[in-house]
Amino acid sequence: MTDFGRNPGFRNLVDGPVLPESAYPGEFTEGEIVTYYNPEKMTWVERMYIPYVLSGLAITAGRFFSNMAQWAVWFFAWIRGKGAETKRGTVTIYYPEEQRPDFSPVNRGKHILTQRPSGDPQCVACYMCATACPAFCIHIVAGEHPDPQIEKYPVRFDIEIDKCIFCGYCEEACPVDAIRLTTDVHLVDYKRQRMVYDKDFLLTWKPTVVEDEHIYPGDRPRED
Amino acid sequence: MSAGMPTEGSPTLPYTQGGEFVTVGEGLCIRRIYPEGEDSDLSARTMINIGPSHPAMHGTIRMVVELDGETIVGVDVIPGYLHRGFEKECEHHTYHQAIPYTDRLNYCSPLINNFGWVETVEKLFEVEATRRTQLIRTYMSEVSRITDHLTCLGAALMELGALTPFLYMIEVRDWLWEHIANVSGARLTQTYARVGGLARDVTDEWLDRCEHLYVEELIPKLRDVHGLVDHNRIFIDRMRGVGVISREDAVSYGVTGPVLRSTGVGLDVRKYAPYSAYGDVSFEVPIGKYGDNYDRYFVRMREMEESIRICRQLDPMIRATNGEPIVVDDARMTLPDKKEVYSNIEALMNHFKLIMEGPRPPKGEAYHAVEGANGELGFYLVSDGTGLPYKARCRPPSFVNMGAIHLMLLGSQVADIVPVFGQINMIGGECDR
Ligand code: SF4
Ligand code: SF4
Repeated sequence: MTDFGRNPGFRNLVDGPVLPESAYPGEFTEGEIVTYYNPEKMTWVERMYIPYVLSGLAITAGRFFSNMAQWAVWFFAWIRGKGAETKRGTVTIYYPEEQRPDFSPVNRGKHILTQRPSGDPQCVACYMCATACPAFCIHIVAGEHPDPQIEKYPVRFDIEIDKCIFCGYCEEACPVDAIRLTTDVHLVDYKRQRMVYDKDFLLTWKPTVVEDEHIYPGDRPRED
Repeated sequence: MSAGMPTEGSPTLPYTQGGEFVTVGEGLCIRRIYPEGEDSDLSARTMINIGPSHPAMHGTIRMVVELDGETIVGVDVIPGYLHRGFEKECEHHTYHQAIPYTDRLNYCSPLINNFGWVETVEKLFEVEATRRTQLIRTYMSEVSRITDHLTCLGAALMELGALTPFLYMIEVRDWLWEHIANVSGARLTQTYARVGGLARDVTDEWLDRCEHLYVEELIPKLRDVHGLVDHNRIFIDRMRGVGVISREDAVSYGVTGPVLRSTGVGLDVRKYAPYSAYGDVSFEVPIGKYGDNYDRYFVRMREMEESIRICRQLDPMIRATNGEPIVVDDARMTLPDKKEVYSNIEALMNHFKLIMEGPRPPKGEAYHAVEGANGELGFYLVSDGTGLPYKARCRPPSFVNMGAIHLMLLGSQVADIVPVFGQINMIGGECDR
């Protein structure tokens, strides 16, 4: 049995099977298991308590002064108008005036519905996003579009944004690139009812440049 | 009293050596152990409830502790306050839709859970992910392991009163999380894995910045934390010889992960059943000697260093496979390329079928385990040939580790509960599923 001499209050209560020393380490090649520092007794310096407290203090003070020095460097760079490229000492970000520099450009946030050039949604109400959604938070009512080229369109398109888990499956499931997730994370409201985003709200996204590959193929002139 | 609980006066159950079960309240039964040389004077005992909403019981768990003065003589752990029915819910979702659920198992390292799930489904399909996918999965698992250990140690140290290491570690974790979000799209609920591949490819710049974060942030901060607490007498007194579990007990209770390795058993899924690209990298498995809190702390600190080492070995390998596919070319599980979907009716139909029915693995069952940050995280799946799992079962490491906490606590002081609990790193989402 292992010796538990260092914990007087402890008694080994279950006499389990004693493993042969090599039972598990046998799987490993030489030098792949390391035993780390945990000595039996404290050294006398550790016993004295003060020296290591002071060395800890030195570490935190070192961090403080290096942060301040870096901040000073940043400050002079900022005066010269180069603040953005220079590392600031502390990590404090003055939200919301400032956004963290490494904020993910692919962050999954608020949904938008993309539009045809006419302003109609590109969505063809195929229910793929609603099927793929693991939280079952997309609700669509389909209707017939007067334009025979479009045929089907969503009369209602509601996303319960408070139920949404921002998995991005709807974006992945859409066969016509009609729904996308933007990086916007400011999704707050005082009323639960307003957390249901309807079609009009989702359509407020106005792209300045319509990239070619994002236009629904049905909108391109037919080449027959 | 509920059905499965042992009743009063049943001291001969196989796992009750030393002590007996005593009913102490409605539906509540604890094992009471009498310290040597003491009579069972029950009037001297105090019962205290810790949790479920105690700030130190991170993850919502309740512990009923029986005290004799300051000494713990009985512990009962009551989990289940965060039960969400993960396994049952999986039966109502396709294999694909269950991936976001796995994010919420161990929410300190969601990517490891993601990969564990999809690798189990891939085992059902009997396909192997592409080389690049495997390399990236391994890399991402190690980044996740680092963030998990940073969270665990930071919180555990903070509970001991050491706030500075907490701030250092959480700062690094924040950089790493946002960095993971740069490729996966979310800081915590990453949903990055897909059956048969990954959601997004990583770039060389991403790898560069990851290395930059290791050099500029993680390694100096780890050095600082070592310097701050390793030799500090307060820390040593609270950690050394506290929460000891013997090697035999740890093995017989099925404990895995850093808790097991701290007792000197070098059991690591990455070594004994290498998955993904773990067979191609060399790394050490840190083990402790005594199975106390101090060993657990050191095992975790060393594991982070080993994770950095693994990442550095994988870095050139990932760069060498640039441009290779990150999804398997298998129409049974991989969504077709969007360009194909927009222009090609077969691809569109394939897309629709995959979304509506999900990937449909052949009939069979599979168990796959990955080394989560807390231990062996296993998924067992039974497929009946449809797109929904017939049965899903998760082997949560924290749950099993919590089953042995009474061995670590009996005989200790009340104040030892929090550091021991912190070093087990119970994650509610994973423990209660
Ligand atoms: S992001 Fe996920 S949860 Fe949210 S609406 Fe899309 S599919 Fe549903
Ligand atoms: S998947 Fe796309 S086209 Fe189909 S209903 Fe959803 S948003 Fe509309």
